[in-house]
Amino acid sequence: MTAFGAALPRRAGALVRRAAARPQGFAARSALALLLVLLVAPFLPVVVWSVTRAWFYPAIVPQTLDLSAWTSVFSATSGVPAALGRSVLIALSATGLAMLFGVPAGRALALHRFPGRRLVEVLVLAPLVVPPLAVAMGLHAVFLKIGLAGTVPGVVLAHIIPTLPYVILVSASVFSAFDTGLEDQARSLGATPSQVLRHVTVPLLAPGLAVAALFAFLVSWSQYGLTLLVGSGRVPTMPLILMQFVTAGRQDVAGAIAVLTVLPGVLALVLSARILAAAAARERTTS
Amino acid sequence: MPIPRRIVLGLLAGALALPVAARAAPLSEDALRTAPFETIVEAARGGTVNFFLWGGDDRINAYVSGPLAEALKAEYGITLNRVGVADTAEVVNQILSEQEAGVTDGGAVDLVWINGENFRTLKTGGLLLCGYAERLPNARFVDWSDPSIANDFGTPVDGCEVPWSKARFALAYDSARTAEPPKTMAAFLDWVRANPGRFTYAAPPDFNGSAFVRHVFMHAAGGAEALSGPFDQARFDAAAEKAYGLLDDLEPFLWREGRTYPTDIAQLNQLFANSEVDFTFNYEPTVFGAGVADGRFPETTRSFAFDDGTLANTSYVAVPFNAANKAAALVLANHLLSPAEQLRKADPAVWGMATALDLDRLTPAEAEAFRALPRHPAVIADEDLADRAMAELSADWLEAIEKGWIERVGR
Amino acid sequence: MSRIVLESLTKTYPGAPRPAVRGFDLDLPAGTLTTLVGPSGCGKSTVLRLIAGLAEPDAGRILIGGQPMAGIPPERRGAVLMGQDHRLFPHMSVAENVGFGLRMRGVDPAVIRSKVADMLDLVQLPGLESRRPSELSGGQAQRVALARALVVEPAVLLLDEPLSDLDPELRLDMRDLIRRAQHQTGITTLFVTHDREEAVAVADRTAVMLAGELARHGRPADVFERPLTRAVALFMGATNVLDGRFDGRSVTTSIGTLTLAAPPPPEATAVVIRPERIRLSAGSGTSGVNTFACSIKSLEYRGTHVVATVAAATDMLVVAVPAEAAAGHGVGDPVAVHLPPEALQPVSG
Repeated sequence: MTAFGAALPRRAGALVRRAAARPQGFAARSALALLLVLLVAPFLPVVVWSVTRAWFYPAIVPQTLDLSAWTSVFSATSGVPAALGRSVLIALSATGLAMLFGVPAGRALALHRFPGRRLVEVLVLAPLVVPPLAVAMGLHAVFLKIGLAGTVPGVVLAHIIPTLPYVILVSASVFSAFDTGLEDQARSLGATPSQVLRHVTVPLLAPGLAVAALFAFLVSWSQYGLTLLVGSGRVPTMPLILMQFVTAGRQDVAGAIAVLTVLPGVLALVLSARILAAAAARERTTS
Repeated sequence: MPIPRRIVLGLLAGALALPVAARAAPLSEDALRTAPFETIVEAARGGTVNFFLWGGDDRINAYVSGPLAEALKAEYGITLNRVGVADTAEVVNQILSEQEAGVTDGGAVDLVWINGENFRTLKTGGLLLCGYAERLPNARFVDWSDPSIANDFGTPVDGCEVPWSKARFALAYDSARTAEPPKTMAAFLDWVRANPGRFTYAAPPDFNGSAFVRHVFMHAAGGAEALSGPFDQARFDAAAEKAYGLLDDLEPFLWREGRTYPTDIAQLNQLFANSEVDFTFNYEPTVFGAGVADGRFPETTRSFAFDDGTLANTSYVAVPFNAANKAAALVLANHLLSPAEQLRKADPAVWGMATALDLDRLTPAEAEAFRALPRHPAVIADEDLADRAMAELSADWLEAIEKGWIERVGR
Repeated sequence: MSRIVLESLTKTYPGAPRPAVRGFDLDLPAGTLTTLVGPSGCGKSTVLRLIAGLAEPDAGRILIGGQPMAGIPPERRGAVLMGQDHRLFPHMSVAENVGFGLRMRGVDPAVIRSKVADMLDLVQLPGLESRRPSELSGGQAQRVALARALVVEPAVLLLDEPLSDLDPELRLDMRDLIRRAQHQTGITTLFVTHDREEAVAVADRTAVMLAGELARHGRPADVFERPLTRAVALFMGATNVLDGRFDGRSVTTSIGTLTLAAPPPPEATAVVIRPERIRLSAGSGTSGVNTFACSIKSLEYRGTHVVATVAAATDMLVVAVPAEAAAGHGVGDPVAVHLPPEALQPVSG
């Protein structure tokens, strides 16, 4: 197995597993709590901003609570509900496409040896190394010529570039950790190939592939520059709308949009952490 | 808790309502400049117009996507697609990259809210549709001979854009903190020296900070006239010596002794709101009213302009050379100039942006309606500003002043 | 109860220099336990995979209960494989694992429940139904794997080194359990191992496989005592191989002329004798048949016995002596070795 196929994802996998495993002892638990505070604390003012008005310096706590930022964000004219829907549509589509190409690619990299494999490994990692904006500018020029610039399908296609490496990396590690002997075992116990797929292969690979999909979703969800450029500004997703209010210094509206922007990401993270923790619990004693 | 189906459907509908450019029967560029306006309206009917504009104010967004879009739909059957941007320069880049890619038709931008440097870039690049502006039916309400309309930061408009709103520079203070603000530049500079740490300005090239520096420059040069007309190195050098010297001397009296400046107007607004400094300023005084309304500024915020002159500018809408829906863009540009739409936009309850129309060209009743508009107490009265308006400097002057500040004061 | 017949099986893996299995014949009588023993890499596991249908032979036939297996998929062969890694499905409970094969066959859940319970009783793990595989010890997991294989009442049970990952004491327990379960169920079983003692301990029949080919097949005692070929003899631990010239019932070797208990087959080229069958006595008295004077070169204490290397004429012999009998001997001592005629086995090759 080459460094790419196993060592790198495995090392990453070990880190994730270690983090997800039940912390042992007080020290680990306090470290985890501290990490949580560090992650969550910067976000609290954003939530507070979204529900306050006229909160001026000497006052430690907001003087008035006000939901007008939320009313404005949810009004029909704000474009935010549509952007939320558009972001979901784009992230789901990009995730679907990235999985369609990335899972077989990850499987091939993990399980097969073929000529030019090294080159493929490097190419897979390239989008993580090359500045995304450089790629986006070239892509924009091409998409302008073929009429994909400024369209949702164009943005979806562009989002495959940053999402695909994550899908390939994660699924390569999922497949290299998968014991195909379990499939043989099931066949020999009397399961037909489709039963093996349904009762053994899919349930065993699903958690890992779900994590790959969640990664892809989050990466697509948080794209800014790529969406702005390839979308010709005309495909406003949540990060684009958020940026408009952040640069305008509108902390209230920006706070409300930020909460809406972060929520799916938090949901996805919690979900993937649970999947990983369950997988880790299963793996701990079998290894 | 199950998510109500109505919301799910709404989200889906929003996502699927892709901003697709619906093509009406295309008119040639010549036809757009010569055909009767009814022909253009007919060509535009049932189409879409992609209106790109700064998206950082929910009130503006609500106005454009709300009453304005509804009016356009009702009167012309045109769908207005508001495209918010964080910075108008993004739109300029978009048009430039379309030109580079050879997109001469079917461009993303149909109409853009623009002025100053962005306009100059597009106009000098030949990237705008020109020659239609004064032919729009509602163009008759505009005084095209007014230098502040005919020149956009010193660049001749030449029918390449349509005025939308006027703006004049003003300063805001908190009447609860500052009873009587200094109302000339000289008095203001004295006040800053007498109240160390209570003032600062956003560092150029911030749009508003740059405008404040120009006021100082004009003051140092002995008046706006000294800097009018095309750029002149000798006149610049003479004024620069005094102006930058003045700003250098002022530094120790600024917030944090001038060691650092706010990098944008949002930061300065924040400092003002938190009582760290006593003034903020804006090229668009209605933002003070909006700021109080949305709780960013104290209720007791008031605004004023310098008695010895305050800069004025006009903002416009322009149609890129490769707009996919030029006819619809012209119909929208014309509609924006209608007295009724201008009145609605000038209403502080809607937006409060000053009209670009010449009230003398309206019917007395229409003009009266404009004069009778309520004014937010935080916003300086229009007539107070109009008396002291100074025309903006040309873009060359602007750039030289900004560059000089960054090199000599900002460092 | 099915008879399994393998006829001339040959299998070469793509890219391999030589066949993993070559012309392999084996007959497993119905209801018997046969061990297939051989060194690592001799092709034992490939034979199991061929029977299970997880690999297709290049040539030859497999008959299970008289049915040729060519083209029959693994799930329809009734040949259940159980490996050295228990390969329990990590996402299923013990009960779900054991019931897996029955579930795939669409057996009624109530029937599955009771059969699973019976099977867990048989492997001495009653009541562990709801455990996860991750909560089992290695020995428990292996027993669950055995229960999972037995519950489908396969035509043939294929065990691939099922004991090699277990601790020594668990190994004996598991070995007994397999033997007992096989007796109770009567399932024809092929048990692959590389351990020759394991091979003869549990089996009705033992087959020795060397370099892809069947080298010897018979009752365990026969295979152990009468290896017939030099290679099988060496593999089965008959360390002393003496090349010789045969003449009637006597054979001339490097240590002297030996007398055999019976006439050797014509193809014999050497005689072998296991170390524990050689008798060692003090002094240099050499009276009697097949008795030679020699001296002790080295002694190696092995707990229950002592392994002595002795020089006899121009050769060396390895002798295993009970520990107490070796007490009086030291390196360099002159001793006499006696090679009983009935312990001398002629071999070919």
